[in-house]
Amino acid sequence: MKWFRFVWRNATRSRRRSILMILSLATTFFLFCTLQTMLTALDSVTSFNTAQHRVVVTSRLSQIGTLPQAYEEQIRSLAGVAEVCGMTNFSGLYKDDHPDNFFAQYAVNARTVFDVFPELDVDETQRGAFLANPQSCLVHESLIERFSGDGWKLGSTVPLIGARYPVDPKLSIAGVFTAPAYEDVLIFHWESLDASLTAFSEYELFFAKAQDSAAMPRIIDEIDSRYLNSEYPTASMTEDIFQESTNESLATQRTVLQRLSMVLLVVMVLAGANAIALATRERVREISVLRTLGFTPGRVRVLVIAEACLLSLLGGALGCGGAWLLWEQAGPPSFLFLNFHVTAGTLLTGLALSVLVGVASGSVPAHRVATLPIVSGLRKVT
Amino acid sequence: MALPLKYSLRSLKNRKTATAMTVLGIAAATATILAVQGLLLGVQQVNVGTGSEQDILVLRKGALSEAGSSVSLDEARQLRSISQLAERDGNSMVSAELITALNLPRLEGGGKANVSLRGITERERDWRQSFEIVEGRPFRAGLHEVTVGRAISRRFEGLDLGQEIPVGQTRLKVVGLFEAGDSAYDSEIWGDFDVLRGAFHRQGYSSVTLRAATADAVPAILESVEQQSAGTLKARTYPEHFARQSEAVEQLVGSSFLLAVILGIGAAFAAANTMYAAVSQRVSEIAVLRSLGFRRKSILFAFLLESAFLGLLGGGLGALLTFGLSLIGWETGTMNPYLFAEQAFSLVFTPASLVTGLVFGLAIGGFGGLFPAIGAARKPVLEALRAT
Repeated sequence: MKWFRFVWRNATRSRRRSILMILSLATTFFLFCTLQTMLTALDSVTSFNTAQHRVVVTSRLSQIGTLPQAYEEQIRSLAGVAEVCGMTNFSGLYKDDHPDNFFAQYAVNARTVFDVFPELDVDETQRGAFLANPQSCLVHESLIERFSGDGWKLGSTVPLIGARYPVDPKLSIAGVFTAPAYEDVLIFHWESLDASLTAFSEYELFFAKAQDSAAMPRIIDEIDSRYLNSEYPTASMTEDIFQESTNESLATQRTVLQRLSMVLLVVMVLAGANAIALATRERVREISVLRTLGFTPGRVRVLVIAEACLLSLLGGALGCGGAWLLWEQAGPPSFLFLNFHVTAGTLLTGLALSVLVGVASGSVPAHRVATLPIVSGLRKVT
Repeated sequence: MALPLKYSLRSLKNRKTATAMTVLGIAAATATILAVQGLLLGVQQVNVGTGSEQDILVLRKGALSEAGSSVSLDEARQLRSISQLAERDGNSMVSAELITALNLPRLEGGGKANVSLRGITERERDWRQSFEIVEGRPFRAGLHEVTVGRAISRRFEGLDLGQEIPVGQTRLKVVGLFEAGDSAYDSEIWGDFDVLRGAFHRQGYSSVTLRAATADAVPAILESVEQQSAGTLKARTYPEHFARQSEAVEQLVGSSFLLAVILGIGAAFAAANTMYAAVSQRVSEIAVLRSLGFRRKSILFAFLLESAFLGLLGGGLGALLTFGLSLIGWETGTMNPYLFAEQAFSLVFTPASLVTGLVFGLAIGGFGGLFPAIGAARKPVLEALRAT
């Protein structure tokens, strides 16, 4: 502890220089935390529930390919499969193509959707109303909130504009669900979509709920080998692998963000090293005096590095704290990222790296000043 | 009387380590900014460079892109009867096309990504694909053959000349590579419409492209498409379509500006540190200059100039680094959310980037050096002379 006072005094001796160093590190750490938060946001694009042991069956031909409706019944008959729900991403628009009006619309098999997705929490009477009316839909409460200005409520009509399918369905809201994993989602009857298209009878994917997780690898094998030589070959996977493959397409963005973060670290070390080098240069004589008093080069080195770490840690805390304050308290830039949250992991990484930056930037100046012959240090005029 | 330029330059040379570290720091910051902007510019260039004013793209009304659109056989047939279309060998120039995506393994970075696959008839291909086949030959009607954009063939496995792409029960043979002048088509695979429709079990078309007979006919054609389809189809000229697609990129350009400002401020703090140290090391020197008759203004100017040089060196070095990156051809790709497929683009470095880099560096040096220079000019002469 007695050394802490010594280091602190040294660090605060030239306040202006220390403050400038802290501020320059703080701005860089702020950017670093922001980039890291973008990375975590990219990784959480979709958040499926993996505790439900579901198998996702997609087209092997193309990620936007389709599969025949008949597969649903065939997959259901496999041993170990509890229930199957076909699903098609309608990908239509609501009102116009402004991003504020984007949300997901899934045409699902209404008879099985609640068995395969038990986490869809819809009130009994609302569920009954949805099942009774093929022109109705269920929406997440987030959408009711977002479009309250358009008068969205139970019973009101939502007009969708077709894109991948040449129909414009008008759906009445039969119920509202609140499951956290399905924010911004609308589901409606696949049958009504099918009825309005000629020669369709296709789904984009199937969700097959397994009786237990142990059966999943076998189910995946059986489905894929069954259809391997058919006109519509399948690619099946567990729900979390499906999620990962969706995220894989963002690999480039991830690489760019990671490279930027690396460059920022280099900038920090350079800025820190420069400030510490300036500080030690001014103190060559007094460090030589310390050496004469019996301080070993090792101790001098530790003292200088400790000073660098202290300043760098302050800069890191300020930058990471600023990022947390701005993005968590003042609100994130929602136009680009969903789930833009500064996590504890990001903050801890930032702080840990700030100590490393301190060590890296203090090492060279510390080594130089610690190994300088005492006599020439004493002679040095600053 | 002004201090000679040499004074400022020599002073930088005197403190080699501090100068080098500051310059490197500014250079890294500049390179970061220029690389980010260069990549965004690359994405924009891809979108802007595609399509002529006289070509009109017809999509379903709710569609944001060709891949997410559907046009039925009937609707496409009706579009052929629109008047004022250009003609070629007695047929009006209407190309109904199919766009789908193939999930292929990436060569770099691992994983798989989607590549756009375009089905088109041989007859329409010849005017739609006005760009050149650089290796091999064009695909032939009715055969399981495709031609591949060279940019995308370099980024994915199995897209080289002569290789076969497995699609379900069939295989598509790569018979040619084309270059489409850095446009969006560089990221596509083209094949025969009927072959691809069969392989992917598709019922209708994704999009229809019409060529107007004259530029003046464009507004009338846009209107007839909307009328004929009772508003379920929308028509736009290609430049307009791509301008809309790059809107998302514009937002990113905005946030990269913010990145530049924050990083610049950080670098300016570091430069200020260097300059303060420079001033405090030369207190007596400044005093001597003052007693020799140099004015406060000259001192201020000399230190500011020194700092500006520091910034310029850093900015120039950063620009040089980015230029190097663009020379090695840092070609990359990204998932275009509208196309639902990977799009290749490369880092663009223009003379404007060099100017941006120099200005950025100069700004850092200028702001960083301003307060230290003012401090130097204000040093009282007598006190400063006594300082050592």
